Amino acid sequence: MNGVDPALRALVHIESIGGPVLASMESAGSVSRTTAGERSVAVLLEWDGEIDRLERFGARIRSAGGGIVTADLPLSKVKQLSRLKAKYVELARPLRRELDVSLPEIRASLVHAATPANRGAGVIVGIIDSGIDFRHGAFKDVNDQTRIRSIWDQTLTPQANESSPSGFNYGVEYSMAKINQALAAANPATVVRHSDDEVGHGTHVAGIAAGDGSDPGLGKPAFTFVGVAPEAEIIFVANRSDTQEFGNSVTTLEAVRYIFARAGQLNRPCVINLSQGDNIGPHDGTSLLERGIDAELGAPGRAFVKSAGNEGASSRHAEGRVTDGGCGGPDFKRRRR
Amino acid sequence: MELGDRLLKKLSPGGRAWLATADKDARLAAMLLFARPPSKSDLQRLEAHGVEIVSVSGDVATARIPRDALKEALDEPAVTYVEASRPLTAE
Repeated sequence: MNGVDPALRALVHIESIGGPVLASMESAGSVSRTTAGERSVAVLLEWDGEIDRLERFGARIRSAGGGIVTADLPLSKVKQLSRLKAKYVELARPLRRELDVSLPEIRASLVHAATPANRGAGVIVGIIDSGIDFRHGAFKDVNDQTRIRSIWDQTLTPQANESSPSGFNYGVEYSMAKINQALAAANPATVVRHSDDEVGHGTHVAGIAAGDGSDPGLGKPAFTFVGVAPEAEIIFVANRSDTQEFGNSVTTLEAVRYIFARAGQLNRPCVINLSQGDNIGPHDGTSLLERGIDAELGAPGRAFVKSAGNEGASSRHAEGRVTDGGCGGPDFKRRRR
Repeated sequence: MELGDRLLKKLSPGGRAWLATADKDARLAAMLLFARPPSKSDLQRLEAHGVEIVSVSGDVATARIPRDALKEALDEPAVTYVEASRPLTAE
């Protein structure tokens, strides 16, 4: 089986003998079941052929771009992979959390350990994202009180004893006092209705930026997975909705304005993180969202961090050649579903 | 609603697509670009047409524009461009 990585070759052997090894791989998620009950594995293929051919082979395509395809492959097809003549096929490998490695890598650990230590105390970290699990220990202080100054959930409609933030007539704002009240309640959701979504993107992002890592877990002791500013306070705007994955450019600019305004009322420096975006527009800083954010940054003590470089495999780029005086460009093909 | 070329040029492609399908009660979430940071009277004129101004950041304002007020908003001399909201995805 040339062009098939050793783990996949071993899987063929394991599949042929069955038994507890296969069962344990299934319980660990390395092997899953299709809706038809067939065992399948996630793979990466180095592939320059037609995508349709992979589908005819039995692969369920998850993404394609840059010559690499990710797909689910029925286990029964793994032993036939040599027929496919892919350049290389690799079994998906489990990955570990690496925040404990990231902080030393970006030298944040040195800043944390400096004299005086700089761990974000006195700074507001603003996050615009799906939502935050405010009950998580990573966002509480040593007295078990929240470090979240406020949450503006743009997707909720105010109910009794709830209101939208001043200056904005939609969504629900929860104050620090309200969040602490929720944390002390038997059922926090009866006091603060906000929650993160199933993916937990916003909680994940907030943990990297400002989690204190105080919760032990994953077999690791407390303070293993510490965020960049573990003593900062957080202002969170949740813009997830049911109809689209995240918010939109308009509500995002309103979120930026809200966070800087609240930080200004507290007389605190503030850095906002936005780990969402799109690929529409001029890409040169002149879209109205970008201009609006630039305008908000025109005061001292304000910074903005934006995700970038996460879409290399999203097939969102194309190239073509136009000769002098001629016509030309990339050809587009729509993949059959 | 007929906007004419002059006003259509001030509306983003997303706004034009919205206009083609929006019912009469719909409101467009949009960002308005002004020729300069808008004055109070600039904003009041828009609000008189039914435009809800939500926030102002430099020369950009976020707003909710009723379908029936879009023409007046685009025709406002201080407004140079109206960009419909775009959905964002996780990165």
